[in-house]
Amino acid sequence: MAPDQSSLAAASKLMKPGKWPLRGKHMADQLIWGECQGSGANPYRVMADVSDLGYKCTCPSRKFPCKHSIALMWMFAEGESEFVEESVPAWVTEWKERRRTTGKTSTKTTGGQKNISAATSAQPAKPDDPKAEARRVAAAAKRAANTRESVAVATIELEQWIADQLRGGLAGFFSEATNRCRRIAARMVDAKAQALASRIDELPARITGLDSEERLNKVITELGQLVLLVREWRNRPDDPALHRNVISAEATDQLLQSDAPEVTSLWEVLGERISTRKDGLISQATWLLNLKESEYHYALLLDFFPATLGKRASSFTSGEQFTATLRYYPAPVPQRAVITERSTLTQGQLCWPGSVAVLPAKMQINACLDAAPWTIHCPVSLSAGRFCETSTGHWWWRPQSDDRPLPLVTALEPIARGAELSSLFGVWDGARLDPIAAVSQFGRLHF
Amino acid sequence: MKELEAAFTAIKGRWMTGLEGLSAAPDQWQHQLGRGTEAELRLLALTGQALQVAFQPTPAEQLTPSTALPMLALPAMPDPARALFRRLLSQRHYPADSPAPVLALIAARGYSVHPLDWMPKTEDSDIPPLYAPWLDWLNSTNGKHHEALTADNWDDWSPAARRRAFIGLRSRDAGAARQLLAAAAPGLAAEERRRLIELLGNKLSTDDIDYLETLSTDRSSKVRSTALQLLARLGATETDTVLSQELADTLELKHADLNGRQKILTPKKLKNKAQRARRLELLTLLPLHSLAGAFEMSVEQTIERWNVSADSQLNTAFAAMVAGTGSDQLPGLLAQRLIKTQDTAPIYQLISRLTAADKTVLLSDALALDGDNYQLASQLCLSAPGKLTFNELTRSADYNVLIQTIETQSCGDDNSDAAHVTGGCLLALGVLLEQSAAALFIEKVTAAGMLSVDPQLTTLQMNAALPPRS
Repeated sequence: MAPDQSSLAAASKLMKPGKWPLRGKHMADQLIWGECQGSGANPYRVMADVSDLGYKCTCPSRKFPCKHSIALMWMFAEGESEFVEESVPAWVTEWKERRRTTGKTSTKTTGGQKNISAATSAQPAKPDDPKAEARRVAAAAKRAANTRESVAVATIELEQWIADQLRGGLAGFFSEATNRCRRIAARMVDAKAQALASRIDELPARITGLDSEERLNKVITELGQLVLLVREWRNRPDDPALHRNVISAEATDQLLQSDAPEVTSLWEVLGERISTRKDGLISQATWLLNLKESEYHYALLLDFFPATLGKRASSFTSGEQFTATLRYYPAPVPQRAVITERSTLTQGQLCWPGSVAVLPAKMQINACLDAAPWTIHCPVSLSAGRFCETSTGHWWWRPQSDDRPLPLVTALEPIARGAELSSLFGVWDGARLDPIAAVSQFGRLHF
Repeated sequence: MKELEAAFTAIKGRWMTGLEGLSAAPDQWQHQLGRGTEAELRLLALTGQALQVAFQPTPAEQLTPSTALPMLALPAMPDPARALFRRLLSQRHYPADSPAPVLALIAARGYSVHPLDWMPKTEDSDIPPLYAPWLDWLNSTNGKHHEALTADNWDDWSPAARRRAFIGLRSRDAGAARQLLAAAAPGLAAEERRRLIELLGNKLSTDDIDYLETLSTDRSSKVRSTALQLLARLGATETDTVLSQELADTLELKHADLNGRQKILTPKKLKNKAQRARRLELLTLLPLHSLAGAFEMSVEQTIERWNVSADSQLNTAFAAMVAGTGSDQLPGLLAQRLIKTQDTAPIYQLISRLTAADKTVLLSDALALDGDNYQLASQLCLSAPGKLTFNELTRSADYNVLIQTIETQSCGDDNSDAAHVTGGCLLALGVLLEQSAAALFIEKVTAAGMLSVDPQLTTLQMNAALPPRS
């Protein structure tokens, strides 16, 4: 059923128990499922109906079946006992229900002859060739130097563009923000400053919904942050956090091979945000909270996949808790991470650590900006408070203490007005707070 | 700080119009920033940071939180059952604003629904009174709270809270409730007035006649109609002899057979559809005591002698007449006669007037009948859901038919009618069965071929995942 030999080979590399923190089965319904920690930050959920070899995977691969689906069924064929017999999780049930209503499509064999032996046999090691290796290293260094040079030129151009926006008047910028940002972002893409391009391209979306005063403040803040960012990058182009913010994030493999900080702890899934970007990618951001006292309070799992792949199911359930080892991307305040190992929590639900919301919101935001002044999204943990709705329909978080009230990014369900919050986690974007999760008199709330 | 704020305001204003901001910057900054484009960019970076760390957004008005959503008398369901409840609502087997049978089961087990999963949307008489505080919160105006409803605090209550308080008062002191309503009713909107007057049906007595008669001149036709119905229950309305005779002419008292001692009130054979429609119409227009009077019988005799085997449509119209204008014990009397003939459709007209004792008797009769009676049973058990044992289920006439139907469907014999009936049965049984019976029944139906992920099993699975709270 594999589409080609390379898929079979890729699947064989996934057949390691360490890559599958969860493998389950329900033989009465002929269903198997698993979660695979792939190259993305969020694990992929894979499920299959062994009666007709129907399958589904949440990975962005355009091959059907993908290597994860093949690997799952292959592991089941070779070791059914490794799958735990248990009740069917909701995400598998939903898939099965959709199959019932849309009609099953069973898997057909395609892709010509495939060879399992060839897929599983180790490739013979190539003999060392020091000269070829040296050439490769030199070529990589040259490419990196060329990229640095083109990005450096682009950042100068970006500063000139920013100065032009000031000279032309920001009133004019507001009326043409999308087009102007799109044009300069395209120039950044040409220069291989992909991260900078995305940041600029999304700026108009970040000022939508703000009133005129907030919009002016936000644009000034973001343009000022771009100046700080590019200048700091020119000073330290090899810094990984700056490289990530200007050019691109390092590949997961590269991260895993580095000496980036690794944290093993108990984690809770606070919530997820999925958004469609102007470049046609969908961003899937999952926030985790460290349930143990640690300097690493939060983690952000961030993935991007093409919008053409359609709606992607969540990788986690909000409120879910598990033990995991996370590898953080190096940064002044490490936040973005990938999961390297994970296992299900067997004890009951743990509480949020008390130390997280000790500092006032302003101090948390200032600390985040002190470390990296170009930060757009600052995670904050807030202490006891209430949501309030003004007579004009705007929502705010009002603290019980002297801490500052914060405007919310969007209106909430009316029931949120009645929640007495003892803790709240959210993301501050410079103008508004996006509440993600809270503890209330009714237990956890997820927004 | 105010000087700095003023400086930034000026800088921002200049940038809006394309002027350089540097000249508005504080003097001590200008020396540091330099000149020209470089100075403007540095000022931009400084200003941006200052806007984030030094100044904060302030609300335009005082932020006053609402009253907190009250905790209910029962705790929220355990998480596994919560997930199944959410799934149930997403499957839309129940209207989202009133999944009454499932709410009744959850409350009977000692739990409530989590407010993020479901909140009542309207004042719904079907939902357990457990959720009254949430309805009050949703409808609250000024947040004042009183222990008892009186004429002085009448306006402090939301309509929903007022209705519930009135129900309580009527149960405790029927006369005081009537007097309070008489004083407050003229100031109420017609619909609220009608709903409160309808509540006088509880503990209705001849003491209420004088007040109800004053409503014959109410400006709302619906209020007048409701008052008339209540008077009819008390036999205090005048008989329209012309209409009563017209209806009586379509019926006859005759012996059921040659050996029958008692006569039964049976419909005459009419000539055409129009006449039959008129007969049905007359049954909706006239009170029960008018029909009884036309045949010189008591209302009890009329019910005892009504021919329940003749015509289901007539039974339904007659049941509506009894539900609207019959006194309290009569709906139960008719329901018991109907269920013995297996004509269960008319019983739905009577359910709102049946007492808890009536429902308990009818429930075991419903389960003993052939045919699709689990849904009727689930309506009857709203006051006591989740009590049916597995033994009682297997002894019910429908059980074997249900299992056979599931076996047939799992073999691929697609019968959409059977699937619909099965689905309805499984939903109803999800509310009727006790927890262990639900778990056992799930095993039986999955052994018969039903997939455990079949959405029709969700109510049963939720039932099985919800242990009675100790």
